[in-house]
Amino acid sequence: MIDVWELLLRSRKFMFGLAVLISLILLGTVGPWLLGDPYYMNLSLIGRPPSPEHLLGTTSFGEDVFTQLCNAIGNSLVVGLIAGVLGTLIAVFVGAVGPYIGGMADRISSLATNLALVLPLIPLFIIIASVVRGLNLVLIGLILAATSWPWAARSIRSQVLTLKEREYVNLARMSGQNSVDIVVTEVLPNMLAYIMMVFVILTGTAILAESALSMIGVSTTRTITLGYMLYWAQHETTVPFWWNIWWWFIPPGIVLTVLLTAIFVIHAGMDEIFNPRLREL
Amino acid sequence: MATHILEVQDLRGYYRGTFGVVHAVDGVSFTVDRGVVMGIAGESGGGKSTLAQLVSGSPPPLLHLEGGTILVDGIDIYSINPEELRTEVKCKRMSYVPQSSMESLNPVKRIRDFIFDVVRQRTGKRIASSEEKAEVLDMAANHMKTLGLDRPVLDRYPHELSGGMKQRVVIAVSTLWNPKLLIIDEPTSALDVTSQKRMIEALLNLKRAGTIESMLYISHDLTSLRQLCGECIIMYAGKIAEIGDMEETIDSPRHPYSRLLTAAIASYDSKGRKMGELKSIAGSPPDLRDPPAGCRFHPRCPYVMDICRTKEPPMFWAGERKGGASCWLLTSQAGQ
Amino acid sequence: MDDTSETGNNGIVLKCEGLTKLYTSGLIRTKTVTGAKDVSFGIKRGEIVSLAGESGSGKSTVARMILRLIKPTSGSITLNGRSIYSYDIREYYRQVQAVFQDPYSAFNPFYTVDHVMERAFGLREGSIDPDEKDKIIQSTLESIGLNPSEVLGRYPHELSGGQMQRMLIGRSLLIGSQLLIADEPTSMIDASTRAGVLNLLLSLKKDKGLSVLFITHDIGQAQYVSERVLVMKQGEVVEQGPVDEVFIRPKHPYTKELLAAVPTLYERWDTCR
Repeated sequence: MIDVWELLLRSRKFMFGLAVLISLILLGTVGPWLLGDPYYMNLSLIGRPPSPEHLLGTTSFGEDVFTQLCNAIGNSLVVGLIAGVLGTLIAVFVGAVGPYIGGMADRISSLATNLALVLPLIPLFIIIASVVRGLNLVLIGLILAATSWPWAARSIRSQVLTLKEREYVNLARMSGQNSVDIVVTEVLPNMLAYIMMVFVILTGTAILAESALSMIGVSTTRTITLGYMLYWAQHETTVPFWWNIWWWFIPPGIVLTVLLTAIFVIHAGMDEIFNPRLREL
Repeated sequence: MATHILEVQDLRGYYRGTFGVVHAVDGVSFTVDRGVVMGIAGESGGGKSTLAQLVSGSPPPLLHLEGGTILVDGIDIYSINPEELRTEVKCKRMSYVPQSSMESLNPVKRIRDFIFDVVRQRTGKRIASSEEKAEVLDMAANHMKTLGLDRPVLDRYPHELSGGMKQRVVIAVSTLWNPKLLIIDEPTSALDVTSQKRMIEALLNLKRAGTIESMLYISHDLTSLRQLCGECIIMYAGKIAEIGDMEETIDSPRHPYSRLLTAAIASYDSKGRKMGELKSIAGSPPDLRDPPAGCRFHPRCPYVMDICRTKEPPMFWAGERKGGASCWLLTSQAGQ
Repeated sequence: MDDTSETGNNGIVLKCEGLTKLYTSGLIRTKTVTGAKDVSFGIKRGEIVSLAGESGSGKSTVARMILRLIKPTSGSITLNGRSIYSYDIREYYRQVQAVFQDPYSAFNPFYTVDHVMERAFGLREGSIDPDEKDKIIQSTLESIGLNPSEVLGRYPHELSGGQMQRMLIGRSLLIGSQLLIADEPTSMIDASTRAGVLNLLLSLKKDKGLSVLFITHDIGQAQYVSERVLVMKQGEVVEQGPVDEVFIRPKHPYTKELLAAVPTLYERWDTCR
């Protein structure tokens, strides 16, 4: 058998994406630990350009941009991971168990998928943001997870519908296994690669969605994420023209682009390995 | 004009990948004369399909030509450029129908639209006007009659046809340009016996009608080979075990492998009564990443001798017979 | 069932009566397709009965109904005189097992082939320690002529179709089932490995008294392994009887057609001369 892991390690795309992602993760985890309080406002240093003391300058509140950036990376990744893990779990559950059992269970899961698919994210968040006090990262992750899974559930459903027709499923049934057992031990293992890809994509889109929501000010306004930085940089009114302090909004913009690119390059690398039609050696 | 439609010289084709190097076809030479149906038989994993892929001129990504030449109608297909290969060989001289190619029919297209697409691809014409379309359809319908397909088949979708009919549609499309050589890989293995019979008759009709001149027919099923082919090759582990006249090879096989193979295959007389006890061949084909030394069949051969384990047997050509076999048992006969 | 007294004692393992399966599709304009119609037959202990016919003739539908994978529209199936639906599902599968057409689909590509054998222990009562399991698997494989070291620990694609089918037959042996539904076990494997599968069925029948429903499109193979044959066409049994009789004096034109298509190695068909 061709060892998939070996192929992944050989894939230039996958390894490149992974390297970038790991360095960003390091920046997001080790950075905040080494640097000081990201919310500390040094009012004597307002809107200073990059310098040796403040690598990326300061904000118009006198906060250190680099410190904020490291925290933002970490927090954005946390939101992405929460949404990615939960979204994948929901997608697998709704997409695999219902269709496998069939009949009413399938109809209910299909209905739920279709309903969630048409749920409008931004209006929903505006309502939630206005109702819920103290919106925190975990909550945002949960909401993003709850709204991001439907497309994945749909494609998992179609795969389960074909896989369940394989004779080994019948054979497992004839070995006295129940439906949940069969889904877990016979059907899902054959979709592991796909489920991993779903996870990667859901994580990436959740980071992007959170940033978009933060930027329009309907996400958390207390925890630093990449979107939060963009929001404040854009809304700053203490300087006549907000683009005068370019060091405040360009770094989070670049980091967001690099982070998402890394995630999608990882996905593309995996796709080449898992999709035999794209496989090259 | 070359005397042989196909000439294969010392052909080597290996799969290279993370799994290692698989010596799938390892030093195969043979010729197919004009007008001959050549069958290739052997167990799965013996290199039959790999050989067909190499001869077709479009090996899959991991398969590499490692040596030898293939002359189709005198043209060395691996020395010319891809465009020339397409226009001069694939569009004129040779057609290849891979294994389970019937699954490649587009499920949302009617057979007629599929045929239009193929004609457009080959000729570069647009085929938009109704006259042009009618002309193409007439030609196709005419051609499909030889294969036992009626005109209404053209208006069907693939899922409305049986497996055997789909397979014949694919063959019809691949022979629209009267190729001199048709390479066809396991066309009957997914079909039930009644469709198998119809398929074999259809292929014979194609040849009788002069649509195709020669054929390279690959199948693990010696019984279908026996119905169709004039000559045959028995392949084992990437090498030719025996080559020769079809009937002689079946009736008096010279290589032990051919002998075991015929004994393992269920055969019945015309009333369906079995002929003799079936015996399976012990063991399984070798791992071609690391083929056994000497004769590749020696670990399974009931007549194994010391020399078989160390030295590879050459092809021993029988004097009065056309065929040859690669087995040390034949030294005494060929020695003189 | 009320006919217990009649079928329970004369060695009939499985009995199907008036077995019918209709598939309906569509909500408003319903379309009905007949999968099987009024199929009746019985299988005795230690008997191999063949079900022959083209693809789409309803052979597999019958097999799936017997295996409780689909429910019949009407008719009854009894195992040892009791309706198959009166058995607990695990109890039923201890008695009745199957080998399917495509061995590559019967083994999960994610696991080594050992998985299928180990799973079979799920049907046994009580727990067995792993060493004991290994021993049982090895001796079962040896008893069906497979070298355990050659097959165990390998992935499905590393085995030949014939080896896989024999392993599946071994699996039903390990479970100790008395009836094997063999749904075209030889049609997708190499012609040269078919002999091993057919001979294994014959020897199990002889040594263990295994009953087999052998489904095939090749009536020649039916003749090789079985005593009785049923010929199916479009869901209906058009002819049945002892093999030799059906072969020598086929009554139905469809049987004649099937016989004419039986592959022959040593002579050419008239149409191919």
